[in-house]
Amino acid sequence: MSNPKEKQARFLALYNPVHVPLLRYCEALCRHSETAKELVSEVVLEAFENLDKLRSEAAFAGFLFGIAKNKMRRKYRIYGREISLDSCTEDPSDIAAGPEIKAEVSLLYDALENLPEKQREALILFEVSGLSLKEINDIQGGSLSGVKLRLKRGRTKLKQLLGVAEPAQKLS
Amino acid sequence: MEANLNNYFDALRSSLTAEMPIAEVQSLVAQAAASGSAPNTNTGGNGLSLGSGAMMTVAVVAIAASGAFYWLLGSSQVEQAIVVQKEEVHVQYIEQPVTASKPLVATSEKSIASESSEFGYNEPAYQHKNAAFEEGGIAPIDTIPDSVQNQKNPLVQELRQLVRHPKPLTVIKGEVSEPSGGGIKLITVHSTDAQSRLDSIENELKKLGIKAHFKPTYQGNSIVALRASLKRKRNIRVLKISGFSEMFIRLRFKENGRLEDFQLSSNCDNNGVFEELSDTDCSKNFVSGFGVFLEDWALIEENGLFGFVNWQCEEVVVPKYDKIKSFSIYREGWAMVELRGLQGFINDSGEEVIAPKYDNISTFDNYRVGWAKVELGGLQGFINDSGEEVIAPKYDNISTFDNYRVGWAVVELNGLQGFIDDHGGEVVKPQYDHISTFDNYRVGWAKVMIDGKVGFISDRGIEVVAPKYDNVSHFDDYREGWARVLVDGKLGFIDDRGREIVNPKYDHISQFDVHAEGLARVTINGKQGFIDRQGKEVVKPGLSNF
Repeated sequence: MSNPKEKQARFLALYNPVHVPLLRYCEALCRHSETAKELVSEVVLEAFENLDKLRSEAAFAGFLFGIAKNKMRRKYRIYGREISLDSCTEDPSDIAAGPEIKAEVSLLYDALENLPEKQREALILFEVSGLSLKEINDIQGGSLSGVKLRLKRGRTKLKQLLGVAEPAQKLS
Repeated sequence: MEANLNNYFDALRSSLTAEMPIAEVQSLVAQAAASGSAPNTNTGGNGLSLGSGAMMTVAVVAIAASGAFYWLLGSSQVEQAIVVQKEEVHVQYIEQPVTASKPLVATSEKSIASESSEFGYNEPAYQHKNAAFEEGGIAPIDTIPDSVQNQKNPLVQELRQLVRHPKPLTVIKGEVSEPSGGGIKLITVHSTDAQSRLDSIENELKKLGIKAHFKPTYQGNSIVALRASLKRKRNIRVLKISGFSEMFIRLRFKENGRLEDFQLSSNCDNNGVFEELSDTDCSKNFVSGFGVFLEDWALIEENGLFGFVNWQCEEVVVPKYDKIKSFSIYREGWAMVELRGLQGFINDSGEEVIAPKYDNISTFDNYRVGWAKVELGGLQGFINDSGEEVIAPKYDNISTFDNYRVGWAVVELNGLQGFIDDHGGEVVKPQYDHISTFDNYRVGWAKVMIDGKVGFISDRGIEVVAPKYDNVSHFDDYREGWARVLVDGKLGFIDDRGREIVNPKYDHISQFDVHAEGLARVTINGKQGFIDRQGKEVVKPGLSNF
């Protein structure tokens, strides 16, 4: 194993740029800021421990978000279902925001629940974490156009579910 | 009409409130790196991160008022602690009178009595045990320098006599002995493990009227952390206890405003006699002990204002601040100071790196590595970790960097949005009512809105499509590289370089290839025609029904 100091510096250099996206991703999944912070801590520790297993530095984001995803699964899949967006919140109304925003947010969450997991993940990574298509591709694997397609399909489905008409259709 | 999906995501984004300074992650990783295993993640904000370069004890947190001390030997001291554990530890204390003719015991008891009444303590003064001196093997009394013997303060005297011998003694455990000649008290403790050594230190301190209780935390066989609470019966505050090792123990305390330092050392250089650190008369009003903020600084107060002194009693930070927060919370090596409600920073050399002039300063690295957000008069800006104001506080709001585009942050001024880059330049002037995420409509572009009109800016900050359209579809929805635009109820196309390829004049445009291969049907006033993929009207809308 390399010198722990070097390892630490290397890890932090890789981690720094994805800290905010990771935190937002975790919070969007958990819908609870404290739980999200805990989750991030756990992810950081596990990622740091297993840093030696990282093949290439370019794959770091995928590696990190993969851990986050697995942690969520392990933690909240006890009930035998896939990750549900509100699974780690006791009270979904916990979201700190005004009532009108709250309503919009829970509508969005309800709609997101109905999306295939990969589409949902891509949408959250893109819209909430603010990752680029390339980064999402690193995380989700597959091809760049696959990610684009997922986003597009996810969006279309969401619009249907939310009753927000496609602007193009509206104009016709 | 405008209630599109982005509004929902905007709401979601704004509902996220978790904040986690990157420093928290850094200390987490530092702990993990040092211990080689995952530390408890639930330490929250109470965990102390320890400087790695320090030799001995690195961090001491004290609640000075209650006399409780926390002393942490961090994980970086594991080796040190192992040494303590493995070696047989021998502690030996000597008490010695002030002068040969005036025994210490009498002096100190007198002093205790007078001080007790003065400060309202009713407990009986502690008693020295007397026992027969049994064994030699200790540094002879005449090796203690004269200057030391002539000290007048009895408590100083007592503590000064605590001596550890350089060589292991084969003396019976816990023996308290006194030579029959009088005057010299010898206490020897011989222990074989760390715990009993702590016990013996507790015992010895107790004899000096210091009630000590150590709570060690073990990792394997070695002590990784030590918590000590110390109480003195008289008007004394032990400000610091440090250097827990097989070599010495250091005490710093304050009595009647006078600061005293002791290093009880087994250092061979001075024949096993204590090593005096300083004997400065320091009549400062101490608030914290040394080591609470920085290893060699103690917090002082003067006229309600706070500053720091060093071991030499020099004011390293002149007391002029209303408030001083701990070091390295906001940035490594810096402590936040407050003066009349305004915040600034001092560094660990005592320099005022950022004068207290901001209403609020965020943690560094929260928004961008090396920067901290500052607020002044409700306006926001940034300072960097060299103390320079990189963006003057002039924006109503600044978002996190990299949210919309790597290296950029959204700024708001008078309700209008723009972008700054991470060098502090204003790349997009705050002039838009709303800016959406990049790459949403087209890679490298972000939708902007002014007065409900839609346009685009590129990720170089150029307004590629002036905001003049009522609505714009996603690119590629109709044709590769095109987006349909709506203005005054009329439809047209722009291409992905921002040019208006088809003037907005149609009431309706269908998808390409639906009605005819390579063509899209267009309608003006109920009259239909066709355009091709170059935007050319191949069939002019003239026929009422095609």
